Amino acid sequence: MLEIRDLTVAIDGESTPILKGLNLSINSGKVHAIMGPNGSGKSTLSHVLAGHTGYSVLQGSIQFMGQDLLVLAPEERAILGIFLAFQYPVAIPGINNMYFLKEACNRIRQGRHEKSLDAVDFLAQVRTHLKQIGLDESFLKRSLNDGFSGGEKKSNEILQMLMLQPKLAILDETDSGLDIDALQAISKVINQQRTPQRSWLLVTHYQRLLSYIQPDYVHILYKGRIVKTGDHNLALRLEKEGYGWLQAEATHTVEGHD
Amino acid sequence: MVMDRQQADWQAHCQGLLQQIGCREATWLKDWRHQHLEQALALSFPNRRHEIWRYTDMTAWRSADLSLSLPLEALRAYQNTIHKETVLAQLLKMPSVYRAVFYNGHLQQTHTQDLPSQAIISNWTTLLQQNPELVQDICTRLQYKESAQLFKSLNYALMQDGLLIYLPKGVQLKQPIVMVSLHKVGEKSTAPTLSCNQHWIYLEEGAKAVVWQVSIGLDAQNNIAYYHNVATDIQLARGAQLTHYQLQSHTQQAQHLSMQRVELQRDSQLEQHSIALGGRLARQEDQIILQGEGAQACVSGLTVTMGCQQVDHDLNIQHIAPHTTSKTTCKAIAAQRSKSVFKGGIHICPHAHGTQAHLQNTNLLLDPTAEINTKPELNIENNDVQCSHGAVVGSVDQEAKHYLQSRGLSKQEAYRLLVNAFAKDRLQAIHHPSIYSVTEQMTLDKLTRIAELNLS
Ligand SMILES: Nc1ncnc2c1ncn2[C@@H]1O[C@H](COP(=O)(O)OP(=O)(O)O)[C@@H](O)[C@H]1O
Ligand SMILES: [Mg+2]
Repeated sequence: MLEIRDLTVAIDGESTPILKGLNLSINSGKVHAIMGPNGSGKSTLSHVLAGHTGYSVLQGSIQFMGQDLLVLAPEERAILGIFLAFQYPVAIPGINNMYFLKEACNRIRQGRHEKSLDAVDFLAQVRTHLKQIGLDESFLKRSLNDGFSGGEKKSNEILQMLMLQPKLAILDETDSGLDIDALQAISKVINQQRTPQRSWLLVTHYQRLLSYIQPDYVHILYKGRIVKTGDHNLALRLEKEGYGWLQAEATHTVEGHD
Repeated sequence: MVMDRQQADWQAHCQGLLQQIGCREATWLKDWRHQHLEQALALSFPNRRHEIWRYTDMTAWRSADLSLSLPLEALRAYQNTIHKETVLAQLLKMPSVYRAVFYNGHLQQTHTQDLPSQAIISNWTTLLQQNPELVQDICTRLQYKESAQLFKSLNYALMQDGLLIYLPKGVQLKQPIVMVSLHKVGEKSTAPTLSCNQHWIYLEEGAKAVVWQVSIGLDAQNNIAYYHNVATDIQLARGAQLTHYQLQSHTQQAQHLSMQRVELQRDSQLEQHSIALGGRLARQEDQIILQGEGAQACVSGLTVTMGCQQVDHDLNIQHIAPHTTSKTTCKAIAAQRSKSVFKGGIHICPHAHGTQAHLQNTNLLLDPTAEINTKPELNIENNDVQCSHGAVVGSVDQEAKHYLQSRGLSKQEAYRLLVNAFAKDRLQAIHHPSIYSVTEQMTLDKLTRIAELNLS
């Protein structure tokens, strides 16, 4: 489904890359977790997949469902089925949360040649999802992410995800900021949403999320590269030992090449 | 010598304009006009070397070959137009309001059914016949209020009509008063017309009113300018409350100059909302004088400019008495080559202890060719005050745009939503439902036109 090859990315206008030849492939129905220390490039990868214009791809390619993702605008990627739950969702006073959700939902449905939802169907769906993630309906009346607590912002991202029904859901540290109840509710929803057609890229710092959502693969992103891939046990090791040992291994690898 | 020549032409021109005004007026009024014309002509014409005119070029007012709009022509044109304009139909349809409609500066109709006795909503040209002493009394009081200002003196000299709103002690109107000012260049005219209005809003002790002042330029396609000079004098006696909504949607050729002075006595309250959308050059000068202890003023503003428009908002708030409060929130959106100028002057006098004055000016610059000038000016003469002020100029937030696009909205749609969102809180501050809906619609129409430009 997703095929990233040799991806090298820098902040737009700069030459030092953040991602340095990253390779990753994700098949349909699989859950991939990406872990890595702060600043290793996890959000950069997420943003590049979603089409953020603030980064420039210096090298490499991304294929998604057989298409060259890099030539597509963010909205085209969304229609194709990419969804990024932002690490820091943007607050926009003056845009109503429900209005926005409906616009987004119907733009994407139109783009996918599906019928737009009328007000009644839309509301019915939203209500169901609100209940699933434990949010009050008054939530919809507020401005988009404006004055939301950290946890509410993350929950709102999941609400959007549920409405937009992506093929690849990228959750960038969605677990941080959520209290334990919300984390459990959201994990449960995500598990329900696991289907053979949908893939997941879970970016996280903590093993905690992965004890609720069993990943098929765990990758470690370190200094712009995937340096290790394993299963859930890799996450457990990180939890116990931290990232320190990676430093040693990485140095070792470099020395080995010499 | 060029200057002298221009000045001489300008003087001759103004004198010519004064002669166009009916000669059957009372002697005191004739004298009053002449006196103010002399005063106006004695003042030097605004020059961009003067600090207050630094961003604003008024020379069109001097160089245009203006003629005054005539009452009979206005009446005829109004009757021909009234059925054709949808916006007019919308305004005239508004239920439960008192209403006065002006066309090119002349009153055409009023609707004042069920107005409490002693309250007045009437134009002063009518009052001149019914109660000339009242008009003379108001005029006499007006002229000593402030130092001479060229365009105001000119307004006094050439004023053609205007509304008097008077509410006696304790009268609280339940319905809003809608003052509509329509402008249209005559079918056959090739030269610009000038209309000068003088409005008076006087609320006695404890009186309460909502006034909506709407100025609209009809026939937006016509590329001949019209000129509108309007002065408004507002007095709020002890405990009086005025909510003053303003919406101007002049044509892109219009020259609009509005000068307003509000005096607030003890514990009185002003809430003002100014939405400015139109005009080639539209300038609003507000003077708010917090004269009595405990007086409060809340000012909200939104200007939207595009093309080669310039809109100025020159706001001056004087805190004279102790424990007075002012809160100003003004926003501007400027696209293309347009210009937006904001001055927020706050003066806190030595005796005005316990004063609170807050001013925030936030601006959205949509194109690098557009220009926004903002200048908060604080002058504080005592220590016991709470003051804050801030001015920000920004462009469309790229992170927000990316966020919206990542949810399937096109670039243009994201842009449109973000621009609308910026304006939203100024519109939502309008609490009267039908005033809100007309204002919102006109503002969104304009913002949509701006978003469409961005599309191409
Ligand atoms: N917009 C940006 N401007 C400047 N530096 C950035 C920007 N985005 C990311 N970086 C830098 O790139 C590196 C990777 O950041 P990021 O992808 O956010 O890491 P992570 O999500 O793994 O913590 C960090 O050193 C960060 O400071
Ligand atoms: Mg990150």
